Amino acid sequence: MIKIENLEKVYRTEEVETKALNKVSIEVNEGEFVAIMGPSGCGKSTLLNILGLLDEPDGGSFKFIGTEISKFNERNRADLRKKNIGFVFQSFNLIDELTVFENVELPLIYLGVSAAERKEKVEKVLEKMQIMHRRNHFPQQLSGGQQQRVAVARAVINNPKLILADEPTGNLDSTNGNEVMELLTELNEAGTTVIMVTHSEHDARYAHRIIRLLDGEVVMENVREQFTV
Amino acid sequence: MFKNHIKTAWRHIWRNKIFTFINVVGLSVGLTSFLLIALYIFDEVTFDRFHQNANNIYRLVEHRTTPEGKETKIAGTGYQVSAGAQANLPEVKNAVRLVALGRANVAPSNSTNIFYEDFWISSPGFLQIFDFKLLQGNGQTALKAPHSVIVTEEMARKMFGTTNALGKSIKVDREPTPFLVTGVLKNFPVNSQFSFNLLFSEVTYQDAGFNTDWDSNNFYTYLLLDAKANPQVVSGKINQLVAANRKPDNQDKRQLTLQPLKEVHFNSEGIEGTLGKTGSLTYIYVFSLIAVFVLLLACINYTNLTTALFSKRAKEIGVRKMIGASRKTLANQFLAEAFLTTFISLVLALTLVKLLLPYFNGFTEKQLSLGPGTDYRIWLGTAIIMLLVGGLSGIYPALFQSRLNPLVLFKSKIPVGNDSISLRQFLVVMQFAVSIVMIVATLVVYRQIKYVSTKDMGFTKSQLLVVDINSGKVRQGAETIKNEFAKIAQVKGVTVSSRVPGEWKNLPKVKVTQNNTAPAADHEMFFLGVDDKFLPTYEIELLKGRNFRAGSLADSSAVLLNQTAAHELGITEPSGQIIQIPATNFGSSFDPMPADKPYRVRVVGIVKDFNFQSLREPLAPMVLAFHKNPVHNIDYFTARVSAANMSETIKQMEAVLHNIDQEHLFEYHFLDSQWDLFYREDKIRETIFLMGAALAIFIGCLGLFGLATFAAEQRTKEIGIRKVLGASIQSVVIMLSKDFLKLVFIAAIIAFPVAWYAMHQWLQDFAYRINLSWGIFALAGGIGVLIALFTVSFQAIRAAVANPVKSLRSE
Repeated sequence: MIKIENLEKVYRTEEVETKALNKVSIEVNEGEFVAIMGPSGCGKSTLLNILGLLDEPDGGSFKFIGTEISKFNERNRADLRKKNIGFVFQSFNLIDELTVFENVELPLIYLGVSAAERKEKVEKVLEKMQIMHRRNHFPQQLSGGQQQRVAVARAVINNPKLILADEPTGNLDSTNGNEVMELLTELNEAGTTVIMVTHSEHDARYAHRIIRLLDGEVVMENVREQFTV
Repeated sequence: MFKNHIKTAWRHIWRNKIFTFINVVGLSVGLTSFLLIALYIFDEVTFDRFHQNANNIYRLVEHRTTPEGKETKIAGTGYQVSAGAQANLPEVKNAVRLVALGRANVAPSNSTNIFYEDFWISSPGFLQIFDFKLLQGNGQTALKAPHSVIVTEEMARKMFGTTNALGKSIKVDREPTPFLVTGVLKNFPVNSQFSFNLLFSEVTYQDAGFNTDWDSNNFYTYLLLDAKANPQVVSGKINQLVAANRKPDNQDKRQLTLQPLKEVHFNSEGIEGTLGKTGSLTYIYVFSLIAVFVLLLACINYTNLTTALFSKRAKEIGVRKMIGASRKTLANQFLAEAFLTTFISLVLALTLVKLLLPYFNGFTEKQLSLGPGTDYRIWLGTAIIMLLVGGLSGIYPALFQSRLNPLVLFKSKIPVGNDSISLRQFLVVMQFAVSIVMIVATLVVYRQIKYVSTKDMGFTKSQLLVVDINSGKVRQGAETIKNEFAKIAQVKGVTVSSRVPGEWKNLPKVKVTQNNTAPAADHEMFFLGVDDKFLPTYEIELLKGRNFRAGSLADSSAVLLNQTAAHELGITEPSGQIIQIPATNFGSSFDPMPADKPYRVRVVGIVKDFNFQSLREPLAPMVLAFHKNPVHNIDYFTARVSAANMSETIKQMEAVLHNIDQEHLFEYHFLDSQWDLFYREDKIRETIFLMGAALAIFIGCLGLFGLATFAAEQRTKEIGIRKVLGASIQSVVIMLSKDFLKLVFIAAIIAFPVAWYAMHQWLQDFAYRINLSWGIFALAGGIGVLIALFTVSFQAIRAAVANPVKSLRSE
């Protein structure tokens, strides 16, 4: 599904040049659950941003579902993004002015889905996330765990092929954190590819594969059978 | 999608109450002033244009040049000019003449309610050329018969208690035959040059010598030309016609021109006798500029505040982009917010306009209204303005903020180039510069008005009650009335005079020659006929010689001079020097004394100069003749009264007058309030400046507030670090405020020379004026600084007292 080769990303200020990603090559297959780990500043967020089509690489090739997209412009990337990718963040990133229902509904509005269909889909996913009873609440009225469930609901509302999760449990206690990880696992088992950035070895264990980065380079790849504590 | 935009916009507006409040107030104030000014300007530019024939109606104006080269323009011609033009020129479809034959006492025939009214007569064309609506009567015939009159509905109500006045009769003191009411006119619109209460038929006075009148300037004349006629060609023909009929002995060069009716309101400066209020295009331009300026500033402030607030919203926008919002969608969302805010502001502004209109009307002396009946163009304009304001306010956020990369947005690191800061700073400097200019203007006008109303004028103008002499009976009984007035306990002194200082009617001039000089070396001086009590009543000082003597016949050929007149004539000691008055001027030109016989007088005294004209004018030479003189009759009593029990005093004086003449109204004025009228325009100007200053300051503060908020947001981290390192709240507040005070100082430096120049020019109008002291500028600058400090410190303190841990975490 995703194939990147020799991907490079360089941040420049007037005097310093920092290589955030240095010739990174990764392949992620459809239906996989991959965790990306590494210390702060190792380039994992940069990588996730590029994978999420939010940022452009400075070099290398990036194939998304067979299409080379490293030269796509902003508009094409946005289009590809909204049809194929769902995002889950550490800080939930719900819109404070919108209710639970409206937050989840938003991607469908941007896709031009009709109101009746939106209602049906949103209700279905809210049921699934067990947050239906909170549909008319605003984000601040929810607990962290509930907010993240809303965020996940929003990420999956248009059945994306890929879910990118950036420290999805980072702001949650362990119980809520585990719930969210279970949710992601369920989605993955239903066929959605999941790529997750995390600091937590515990969370990483939910993945099929862990890619470890250091100073912008892939230093180790483990499949689940090789996980060590 | 649209619903979603509005919903989000509404919630956003609701959630950020302070910002919304500031934005809505700013835009409302901007829109309110814009709407008020627009109503005013609309009324002004439609002045006299509501007549169907407005494009083809012209007023005749005579341009006169004396042999000495003095030019005058007069809005009046002789009777025969219009009559001849109508009879001889096919291009002239219709003509109307109007003239006021002084004032007259008029009353309903069956009543003793007497009204002292201007006595206007007009030809029948008045109701045919102009579109004034008759409530009763037939416009084609109303003024055709002798002894007919049309009245306005207001006058009908006053005289008859009803507007149903057709067929009633009115008696006039100068005329044995009563007049028949042949029409009741809807009250004149305020934006018309005509505004009289009664209009009598001209044909009543057909044999008054009009048939030979080609020369006078008595008749206001309006011609309705054929739509295809060229007015220049027509005026050429009229001039030929007039030249063929005028007496050749007149030495002045005279030329008639046709002035389009639509131009009368704005282009009548220097034309004597223009009817109705004239307008100033300069004011229209200035007001338009203010309106646009205020509105533009409000829009800019909206943009400023919205972008300042943006960092708070960055995350939201980022999320929207990430989950699929296109740039267009986001731009639409920002525009929706701007339009919603503008709409709320407009509703508020319309309410404000409704509330303010009565005061605004009082101030502008107009009858503006805003309602369903208002001209559709006003509403259309309002709708367009709303769209423009919404668009202008929303366009920058829409274009700029929707462009940003979602990643940047997530990190709340809005790229703030130096450009946007300096643009904001520039705007704030400009706003404050305007504010400071306005503050200086307000202060200067205030002080100047105070100065002219308290200045020593050479006489004491307070507590002087002036009573008009409205009839021959009263004039003849003046001595008796004076004596009776003097008996009233509250009356300290009484005098009679032909005019009074600060005269609101025309103050006549005379030519003065000395025996030993050539006739060419004559002097123009003002003329006043007074009695022996004039100097003591007005408290004017006699410097040399003697005052008039009561009842003296010989003093009919004696005069007093004021210092300026004496100086001009080279008289230092009054010793019966003979001077002559060969000609008098009661209006536009000097006419010789009857039978060309100069009035010969002896100078018996010199009085201290006193101001008898507006203090815009310098002191002028004046001859004070005895009240029994061949130049000018007495026209006023002036009584110096004590302040106590004023209404009782007035009642007693009225009774005295009515003992002599029951029929005439007792008309009186307080002289000091008449003097205040001279400065009424200036008072209005003061109010305009004051409001302008308040508005400019208010809007400037909004801008400053936005800038301060923006800066505080931008510097959150810096402030946090400084505080962690030990900076006090005080030092942070000072740090943040200092930058803005700098801007105000720059504004002051720009404003002072502009204000100085403008106010210096304005003061040149006054012969007596205050000095532009540095204190005024210091005060204006101080006010600006204080207001700015107050505005900025609000945000500065908020930023300074914030928990540094919080501000650091936000990075």
